[in-house]
Amino acid sequence: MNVSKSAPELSVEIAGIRMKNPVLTASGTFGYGEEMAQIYDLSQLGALTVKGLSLRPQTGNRPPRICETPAGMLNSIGLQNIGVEAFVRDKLPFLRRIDTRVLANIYGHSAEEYAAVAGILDGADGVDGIELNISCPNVKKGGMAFGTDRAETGRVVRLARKATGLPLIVKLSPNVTDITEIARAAEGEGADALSLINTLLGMAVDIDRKKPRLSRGVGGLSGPAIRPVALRMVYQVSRVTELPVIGMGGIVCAEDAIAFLLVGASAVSVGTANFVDPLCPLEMITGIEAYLKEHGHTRVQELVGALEMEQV
Amino acid sequence: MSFFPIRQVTARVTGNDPVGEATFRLILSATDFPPTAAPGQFVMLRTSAGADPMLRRAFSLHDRQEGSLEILYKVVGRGTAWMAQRRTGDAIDLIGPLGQGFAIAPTLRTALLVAGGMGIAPFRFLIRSLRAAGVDMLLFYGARTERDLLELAEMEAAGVSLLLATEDGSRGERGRITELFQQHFRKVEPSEAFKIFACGPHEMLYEVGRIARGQAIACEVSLESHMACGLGTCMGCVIATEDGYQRVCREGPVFSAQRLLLDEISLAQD
Ligand SMILES: Cc1cc2nc3c(=O)[nH]c(=O)nc-3n(C[C@H](O)[C@H](O)[C@H](O)COP(=O)(O)OP(=O)(O)OC[C@H]3O[C@@H](n4cnc5c(N)ncnc54)[C@H](O)[C@@H]3O)c2cc1C
Ligand SMILES: Cc1cc2nc3c(=O)[nH]c(=O)nc-3n(C[C@H](O)[C@H](O)[C@H](O)COP(=O)(O)O)c2cc1C
Ligand code: FES
Repeated sequence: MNVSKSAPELSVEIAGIRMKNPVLTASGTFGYGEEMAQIYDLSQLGALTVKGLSLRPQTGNRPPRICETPAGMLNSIGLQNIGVEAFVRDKLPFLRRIDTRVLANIYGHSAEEYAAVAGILDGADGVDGIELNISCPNVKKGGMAFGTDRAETGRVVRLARKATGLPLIVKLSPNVTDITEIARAAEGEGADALSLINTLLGMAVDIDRKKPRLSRGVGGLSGPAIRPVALRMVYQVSRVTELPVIGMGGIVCAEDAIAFLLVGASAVSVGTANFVDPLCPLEMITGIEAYLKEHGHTRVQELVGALEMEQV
Repeated sequence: MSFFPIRQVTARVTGNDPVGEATFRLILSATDFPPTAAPGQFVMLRTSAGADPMLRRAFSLHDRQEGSLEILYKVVGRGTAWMAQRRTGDAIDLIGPLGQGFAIAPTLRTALLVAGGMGIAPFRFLIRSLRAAGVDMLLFYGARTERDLLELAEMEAAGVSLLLATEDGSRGERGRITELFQQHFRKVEPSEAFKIFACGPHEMLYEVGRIARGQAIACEVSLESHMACGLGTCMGCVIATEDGYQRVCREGPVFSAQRLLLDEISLAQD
């Protein structure tokens, strides 16, 4: 068989986690995997990321929590979740049976709480990596407050690093003036990888009722509407860090995913698109493979950061 | 709670005819749609080819036959306007069946159905199932005006007794269906043989729920909510219940009125 015609290598390694392909699903858009497993075989994914976990169960924000906007949506879920202990007890046994990588997205109201959650997951069989959500715009305390400040980011990452030997991925907020500063702070304190972007803070108004469409007034914008911003930030961050980057924000098809790889992402994560077209991550994997063949690449890594720029 | 297979299928339009004011009955042929679908369950329908509108829209199963399903819908915005333009042979992408439907216990003998406006949508399927189970049915059905009262003849033919109300008095009693319901709903002894099923605007459902609860009568209501995924993964569609915020798309859309917090719109914040 001709070498160039053999199937290109799709597997990637991020933060020491070997994934069978570079397509992941994003936190908060995939539950704990159970519902999506009713639709397709999740072992086809590179990895899946579970809904943000906290030390104790969270009630979440009052409804309405979501609203559609042009080519996107706003959400203010407020991190409703069952808590890390219930996750380990009730959800992990199911996830362990699936032959894919599982990333646990976590958050806390304080740096110590982040560390406590990371510590509990450290000994949990079935978790391949931890994603620190320091970028959620939908909770009063915690979340984004950590990810918009260099020193706070550094402290959260430092404490979490001490609490776990698992690969540590830090998820960055786009709601900052200079995302590269935060990226460097995370890298300096021992992050193994970065993921970006979380949602952009936004708002929508019902002019008939003279009220915001979300109960909390503001929420996080996701979907194709944020893709250009996400792409730009992944591009900026991957130029200043040695760490692998997981790119996300409005990715709906293989072409979008390839653009993120070209600007420097080592893998991509699919969020809002799961709602619109649950099978799209699978089409993305096939599409990336076809692109690699068509362009004579043998490994997906060859695309990472392969963007050709005019020197200025 | 049991979960059956969910499929994403490409259905073909075999009918899409007006049945009332801006209201249509969409008939879809979908041979690969799971036959396990139950009354009260719903589907998430894609209402554009691209990202505008982006999110899928939720619709109750109006009916389900071998290899086909029906949706009764009202045009209220862009997604439903797109649906109204579909012609025979067009493809529609849908996911389902979703959520928990109505529970019909073997002991059930008499069912009181309460529908407000488009809340009638899931009832054809429910009525067919109740009839097959030999249950007597009395339907309280209210709408703004006579033209919005749909499928009356069909339901009568299915053996349902009708009690109607319109807000403008053009048919049946003048006023709200909850008033008519309250008048007729005198002392009914709580019993396993008797149950209320309701679907319509939230205010109506909560009122029916309160009346039923006051007399300890079993009552199920079918709720609506703004949905992103319809599958249970986003936590966007929740409603306040005694067990905390629960997903309308997953634990619902049919809830026992006993479990809903009928007097509160939300739970305490952390
Ligand atoms: C479980 C469930 C079952 C439903 N079954 C039916 C049915 O059988 N027949 C039917 O006609 N409609 C049904 N609906 C409502 C239907 O989903 C909405 O009418 C539809 O999403 C409107 O889409 P649109 O793009 O046309 O309107 P938009 O342009 O999105 O909105 C127009 C108006 O409709 C309201 N609306 C939008 N989405 C919803 C929603 N999910 N629930 C309630 N109001 C909404 C908006 O607030 C706005 O006032 C159901 C909803 C749910 C959650
Ligand atoms: C409904 C919803 C819930 C989310 N919940 C979380 C969460 O719990 N933790 C987190 O880190 N990100 C969360 N996100 C952000 C996504 O993981 C992702 O970063 C963002 O939506 C951008 O990607 P997208 O445009 O592909 O959706 C959530 C997004 C949505 C839409
Ligand atoms: S609509 Fe996403 S959880 Fe119900």
